[in-house]
Amino acid sequence: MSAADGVVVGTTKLVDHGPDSARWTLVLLAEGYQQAELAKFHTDADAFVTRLFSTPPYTELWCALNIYRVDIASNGSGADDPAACADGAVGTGTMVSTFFDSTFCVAGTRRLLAGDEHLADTTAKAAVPEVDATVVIVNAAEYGGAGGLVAWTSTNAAAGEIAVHELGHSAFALGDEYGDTLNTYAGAEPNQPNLTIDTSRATTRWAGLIRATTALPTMDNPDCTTEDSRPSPVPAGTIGLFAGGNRYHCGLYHAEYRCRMRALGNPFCAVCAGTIKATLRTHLPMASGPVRGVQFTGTLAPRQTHQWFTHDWPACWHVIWTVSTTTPVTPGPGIDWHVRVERANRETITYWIEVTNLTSTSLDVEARYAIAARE
Amino acid sequence: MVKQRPREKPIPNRSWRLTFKYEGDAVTLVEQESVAMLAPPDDAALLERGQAGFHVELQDADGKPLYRRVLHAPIRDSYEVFSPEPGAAISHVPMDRPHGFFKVIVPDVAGGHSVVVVGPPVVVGPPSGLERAAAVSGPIIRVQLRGKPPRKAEQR
Repeated sequence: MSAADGVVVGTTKLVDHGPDSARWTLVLLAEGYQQAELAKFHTDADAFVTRLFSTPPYTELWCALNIYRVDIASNGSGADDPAACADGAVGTGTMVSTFFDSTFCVAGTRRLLAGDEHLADTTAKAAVPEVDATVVIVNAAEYGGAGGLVAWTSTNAAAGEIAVHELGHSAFALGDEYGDTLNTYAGAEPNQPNLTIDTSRATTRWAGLIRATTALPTMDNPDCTTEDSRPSPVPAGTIGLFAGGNRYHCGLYHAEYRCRMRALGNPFCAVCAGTIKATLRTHLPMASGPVRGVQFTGTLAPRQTHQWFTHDWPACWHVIWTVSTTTPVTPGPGIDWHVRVERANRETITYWIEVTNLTSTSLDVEARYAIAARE
Repeated sequence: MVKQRPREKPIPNRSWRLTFKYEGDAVTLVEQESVAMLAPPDDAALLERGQAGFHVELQDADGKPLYRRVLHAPIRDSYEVFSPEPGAAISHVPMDRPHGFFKVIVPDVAGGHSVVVVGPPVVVGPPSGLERAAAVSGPIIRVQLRGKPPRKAEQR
């Protein structure tokens, strides 16, 4: 067993939005990093976190996620890369001893990069018992990856897309929206949320998202022996019925011309994004608040405008600001105030609060917050 | 920054996680764990209209479904192959024979008795299972839950 070729060094929580038992918890495992290379894994793991954060709908439901990094030091660096692969590709011939024994050229295909998925799963569960999904980051610059019980991706800049696509399968039950070797589907309605055989405007699976002016089917395939490479007949973002899915060229339809479940590099279509949201939404924090308080107080000279800022507020919190004067002012308004918002990073917000004294006397003011919810 | 933190509402979040191994047409249970985590949302609505494909059911002692969740190809007979070119076609290469692992998570609810993985039959050898997606689904493996720990109030 290849676990003898390395050791689990430690586990670090990279994204912390609360208890793992309530959040959707993702674990990133290191593969093919030697002890001295673990700092590189930290950078690679953070790059994957950034990729996921910038991938809608994860962005808007970020507060539903926790993410861990598991440092694993392998004896060797990289992954096996057989010199000769059945698909004709030439590898480097490198063979290395790594914890998950990952290799390119799985099933004779050089771009297929995977290892011991059961060991990866048990390692993730041992480190983070409440893990929902696991991605193994393989320390190899060559493009490669695969799906399955866990997702595998090399550190190639384009390969992270493989893991995002595969999470669409494993975590959210999304089907593939392309055809490759199968011609015409003749089975029953699939249970996957992003595929249908139903071309009726009234009853098709995502009928509520289709405009009355959109033709149905929106794009059928004139040659069911091959994938349809024609451009879309409708503007980008149009929701309708486009032929192709579950590896069939015809007979199954997906919702948009472009989607990450059809080809990498695309955003998720509205139907797939909605499916992901439906799962992640159940993992959002729920507050028993509101929690209220005064963040700062101050005194403004007549007609003075002053700006305060307050930083490191969790971006997951819904915060309502109110500024009030504690000096009686009558008749007429005493102050005017504005709140500006700076998203300082993935996790925190800085609020800039500008207050103007509208009167000809000094006024004491206080800035009050109410945390309405944590999501 | 504010010191107070809102408290989260307590909700029950105990689930069963089952890991299966498949080798050829044999599917076996590898591990059953009681875990403090939320199961994915119930897919009853999807399964009322969609019959083809895999799903997992939590059933009571009478076989009545208490929870159902769609699964995407837990038993694979091919590998998905990608290209570094954005927008490039995705393809598949066949496995010599289906082999691998998959896991399911179902909620630990009162009356939960068995977990059933439902799907099209596993096809071994030529012709490959490519047409499996169109085949009629049925039970692939049924596992009776055992060793349930005492239920207690869970806080998240």
